[in-house]
Amino acid sequence: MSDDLKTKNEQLLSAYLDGELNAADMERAKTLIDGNQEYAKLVADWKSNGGSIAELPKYKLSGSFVDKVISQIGSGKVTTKTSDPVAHSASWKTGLASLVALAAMLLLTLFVFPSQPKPTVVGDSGTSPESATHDSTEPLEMLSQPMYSRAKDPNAPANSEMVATSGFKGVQQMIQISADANGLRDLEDVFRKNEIKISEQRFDSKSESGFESIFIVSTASQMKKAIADLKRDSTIDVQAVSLTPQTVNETMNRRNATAMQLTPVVLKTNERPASATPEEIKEFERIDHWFGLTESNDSELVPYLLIINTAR
Amino acid sequence: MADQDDQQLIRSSIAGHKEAFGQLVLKYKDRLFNGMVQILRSEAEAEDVVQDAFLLAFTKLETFKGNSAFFTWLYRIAYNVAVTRIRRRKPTVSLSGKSENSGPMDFADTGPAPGDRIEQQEKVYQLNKALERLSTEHRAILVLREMDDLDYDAISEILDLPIGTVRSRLHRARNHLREHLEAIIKQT
Repeated sequence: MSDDLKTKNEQLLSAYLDGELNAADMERAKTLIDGNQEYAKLVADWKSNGGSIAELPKYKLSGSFVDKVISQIGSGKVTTKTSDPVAHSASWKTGLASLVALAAMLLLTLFVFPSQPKPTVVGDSGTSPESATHDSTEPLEMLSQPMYSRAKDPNAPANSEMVATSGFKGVQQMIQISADANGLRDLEDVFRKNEIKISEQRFDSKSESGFESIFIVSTASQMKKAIADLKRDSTIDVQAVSLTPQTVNETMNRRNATAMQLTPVVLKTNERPASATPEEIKEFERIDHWFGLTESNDSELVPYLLIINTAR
Repeated sequence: MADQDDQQLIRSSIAGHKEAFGQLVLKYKDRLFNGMVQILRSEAEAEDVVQDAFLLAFTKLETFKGNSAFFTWLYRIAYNVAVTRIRRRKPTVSLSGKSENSGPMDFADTGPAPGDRIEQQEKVYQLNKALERLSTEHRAILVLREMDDLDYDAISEILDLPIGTVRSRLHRARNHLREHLEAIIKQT
């Protein structure tokens, strides 16, 4: 059974449990449960867990709470007004429309350099990350510690963090995804589900378009599946194109200008040239920092830089 | 649709009768508080959020059209306040896999007690731990559905999501909870 079909069947069963199906779908759900022990067990577990949530101890506010609220109203500081308190928050419809518009400018870019050396982290700790020795055939666990040691750049935009590495070897994979606040949550869920590692490193630009970036480690197959999951979700917009080196330059330069506040730089190769001038080296290191680049010769376990447009 | 009692209390509140609004507060405070505790995982913060939500609701009562239940409208206000608070609590959205909670919630006491009670307390502890590991959105949707027994329409309105997303998110939330619970039970 394909993952898609399994997911659809499970969603049907979940809605069945909630009594949210029409008669025909209800029959389909019953047939699934009767004909598949795994589904029957799943529904039973959901039901049991739901029942347990309903039976959790209830929390209550003290009787004086009402007086507290009323006294604040009585203080004259609180009066009735006419604007809708829930209308000011962007609705999903508005958000979705924004995402559609933004989708045109967002790319899923994949540029793999297969003959990279083993991941090396050079920074405060000087030790290899967990990922460097990880057997890529094993499921990946969520990182409990940052993969890469941090460094603070006095020139970095506010609210930014960056990754300290040395030796620019090129971006392994760069992905751009558009997501609203709910989408970010979905993203987190999808990564967790696909056992993709997420580093703590992130840096927010102050651009109005709201780019945020994180650094993740995944196998190619995990990432492929995660992207398929993301595409299924209505709150997340993912588009993919293959990039030529020229497009890579353009993409990075555009990001320099609009999102990451980087100095434009032309990358002629994916490695720092041996004959680079001090200025060029400085630029490479700067790019290295901002994009969280690292080295890797593991074609299966690939570091990705994920750039999320939060459409705020 | 708002029930008649609520409509009457709302009209009286808008007319300036604070006691009428007090009755609405009394009617919904605990239900709202309970949900917010689960979402925020902090009683103190939940109390603040519920208070802010009632005050905000009062200031905007005239905009309540009565197309939905008052509680649904109120819950949506509270949910927005809670989400704002969570974001302030941690300025950037966590993608680290760590819990975004400000601190551990007081779980049921697992100290000495009769056998059945210990077992029950252990179950509550495990469930709370599993809920803690869920994202805010997944925890919220499960609380709305399982604890507050709200249908998809009401959940859709509160969370401002299409029905299809409510359905898919509930499915994912249930699976995540199940996975977390299984992992927690294995560990113990």
